[in-house]
Amino acid sequence: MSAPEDTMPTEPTRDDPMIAAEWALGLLEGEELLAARGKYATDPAFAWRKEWWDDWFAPLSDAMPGAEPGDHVWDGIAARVAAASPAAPAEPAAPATNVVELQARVRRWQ
Amino acid sequence: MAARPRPSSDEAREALRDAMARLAEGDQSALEEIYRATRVKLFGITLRILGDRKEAEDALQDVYVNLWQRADRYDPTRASPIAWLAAFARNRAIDRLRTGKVRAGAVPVEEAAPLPDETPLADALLVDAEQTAQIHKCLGALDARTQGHIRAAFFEGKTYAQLAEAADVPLGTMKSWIRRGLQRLRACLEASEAA
Repeated sequence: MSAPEDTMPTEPTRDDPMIAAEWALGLLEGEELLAARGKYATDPAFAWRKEWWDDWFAPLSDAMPGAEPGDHVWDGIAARVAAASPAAPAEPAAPATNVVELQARVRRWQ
Repeated sequence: MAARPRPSSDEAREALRDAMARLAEGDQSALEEIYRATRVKLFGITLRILGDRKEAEDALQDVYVNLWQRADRYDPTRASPIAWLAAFARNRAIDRLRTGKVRAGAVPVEEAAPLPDETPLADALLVDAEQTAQIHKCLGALDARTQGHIRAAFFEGKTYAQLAEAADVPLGTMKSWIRRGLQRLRACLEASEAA
């Protein structure tokens, strides 16, 4: 490993685009992470740059092998969606039994 | 890994884009369609980052519930839907790492359950080939050490502090290595956009 003396001839400015890059890469934690999230919500230029980095980094995930989640994952998603949308009209394709089943699942989840 | 041109690839992408648009309009059935098409890829991501099957499944659930709650945030003019979803899933997994008790890379990824053969749409849903080539080219132009740290951050969800510890260098040194790398990466990517 290299010794510290070969570091920092020129320290790059830590401007907003740099912070967006650090965040997109997942390096931030604690206060800095909270600050970045806050800025994302209020500063369109910062939000744009964060998404710019996300878009560019995304292809790297093609190198992560896929994996099959357990069947219960979808059941949990369906239950949480059903629980959060009480006023939603029943899906045309969903028979009434599915609704009953979903409601039972929702109760189990709560 | 040259991208094989597959006839189904554009179709799969358009079907997914269409499902995302329907979801944004409030069509709940679109969510199941999106789940079926993307769960293997997105679970691969959450599993890789979190290193724990249970945590990764919880994260995956959050990804789709969140997607349903905020499907209108996907801008179809910006990124391919699978690229956007992949970033979304990775971001959620990283959030979980940063706010929770999970340790990055707790379990070697090789121990993950093997994938059944019928990978749903897996290679039909790879991210845009040109964009893929470009990010690899720009990353590859960095010195090996910086590249390695940036990859470790991306694939293992490491923080600056963890990277510095692993490399046995001061935190400030690691930060400046990576920031210089990110600065060069940005210049390279922007140059490719301008070309």
